[in-house]
Amino acid sequence: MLARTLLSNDPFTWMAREMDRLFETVAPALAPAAAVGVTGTTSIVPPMNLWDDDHNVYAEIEIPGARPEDVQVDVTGESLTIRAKRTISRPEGSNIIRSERISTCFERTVSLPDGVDTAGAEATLRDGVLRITIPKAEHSRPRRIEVKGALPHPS
Amino acid sequence: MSETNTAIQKTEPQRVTVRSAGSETRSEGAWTYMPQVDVLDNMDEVVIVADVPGTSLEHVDVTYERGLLTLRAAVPGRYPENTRFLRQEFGVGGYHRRFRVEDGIDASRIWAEYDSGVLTVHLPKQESAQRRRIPIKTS
Repeated sequence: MLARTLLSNDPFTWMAREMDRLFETVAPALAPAAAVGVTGTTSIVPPMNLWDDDHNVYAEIEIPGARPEDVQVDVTGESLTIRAKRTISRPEGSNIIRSERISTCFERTVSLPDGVDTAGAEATLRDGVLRITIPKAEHSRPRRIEVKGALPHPS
Repeated sequence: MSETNTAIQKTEPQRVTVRSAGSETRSEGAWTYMPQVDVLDNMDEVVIVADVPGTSLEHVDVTYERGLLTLRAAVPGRYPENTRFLRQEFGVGGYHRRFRVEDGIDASRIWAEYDSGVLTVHLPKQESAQRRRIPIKTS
């Protein structure tokens, strides 16, 4: 992983990661969109939405302009890691009047609820929105238990 | 030597001023967001590039009226009602942003394109506002 190699010796990155981990552990609700960047890009991690229903866990981040080849998604039993880059290119000779969009390169890991089926995970990138769908393992899906009537008395 | 072997720039390109004119954060009761944009002044056009993830071509609306350029994009809701969020770090809603464009734009030739959550609006400059290359003929 190029990004990881470049980042490993950067104390700020290390600190950002440690802070992220600390927040994840101590106060998940306060966990910031921690900054991890590489040279030439700005260190902003896009915010993430994570939710679930009876069948799947879902994660979503917005990366407008990204192509599937710019995004890498890894799922383990416990965590989801998204690595992505977005490069803003401007025609040569452009006079920049306003520049709010930034090139980013980030890596973000979040923990997943227990019992996901990593083999069935899928990721789609559509209209600048990356959505990851991870099925819940059979044993961790809610199950409705059929209530049987009393067994008829043996006659 | 060819007839026109050199071209030098004789006139400075006229600057077309484009200023952000803000956004409505609420419209018709729903939250809308002000998209992040780049504004570039190229030789023959001004280009506004806006990040509008989650919308699609049929939901984008660009209007220009008397110097006011308005970008609007609706974003269809994508979470079911009563979604149980484990993490909710951003909201989803439409986009709205206005720009005040000073003279120098040929309004009839404005065009826009949308791809992968990015809206690009091209504002061609009027002929007089374009940078011209004047061919210098050799005698």
